[in-house]
Amino acid sequence: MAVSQTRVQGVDAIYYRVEDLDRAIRFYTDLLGMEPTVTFANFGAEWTLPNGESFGIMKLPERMQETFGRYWRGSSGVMFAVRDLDAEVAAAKARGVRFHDEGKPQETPVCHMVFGEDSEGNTFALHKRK
Amino acid sequence: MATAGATKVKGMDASYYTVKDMARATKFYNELLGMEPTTTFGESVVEYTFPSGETFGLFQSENHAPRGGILFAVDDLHKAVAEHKTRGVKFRNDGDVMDSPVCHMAFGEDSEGNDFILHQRK
Repeated sequence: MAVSQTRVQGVDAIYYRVEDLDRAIRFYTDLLGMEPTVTFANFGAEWTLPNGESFGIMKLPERMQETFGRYWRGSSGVMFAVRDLDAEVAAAKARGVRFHDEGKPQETPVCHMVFGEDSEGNTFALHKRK
Repeated sequence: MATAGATKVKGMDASYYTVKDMARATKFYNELLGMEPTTTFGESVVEYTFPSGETFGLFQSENHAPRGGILFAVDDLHKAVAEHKTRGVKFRNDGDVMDSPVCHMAFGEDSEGNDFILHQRK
């Protein structure tokens, strides 16, 4: 069936949280059989797999441990691709979806994103590539 | 040592979250994703496959703890599990391969305690 143009378009990336970044990079370099495609110093790494999908790992920055660290539980970080981040967050908030930091987008060098919590306590992100 | 050939991960077949209440979770994701599930397997599994080809799934688990698991795609699962076991990767049930109607799977654990699945489509 056709997907709404204003909702999620696909999965941009999936991230796992890790405690020891160097140890985890070694683990996934071996498991995936390739070096990271991108590394973010003291923060994370990403592998874009042969079929084009991206898997990443991140160590939450200190400033996010107290807040976001409480509910991002390890292997629970699908980043859903949206076209209009502000509009999607506003629509979801209107439905009662809970977001970190009141739904204020975070900016990275490559994207804008907002982290939310699903009805079961899993973490997800609404994600817009730059 | 990096793996190669049929045991090398070529992509992600799907990513799953565990849920406690499938009806509640399906309603949540129908609204969030703006689409109905594309596949259901019995009462405990639903999948959403996007036009871009990625698949996101929900699995209802009795002993629920919120977490997810990526299904990494390989061409030769048995061989891949054997290779990774020799490197010391931990697998549930000693790497026994589980069969479903559509795939074979082995459940592993990464260096940080996250779950992942090595997955071969039938």
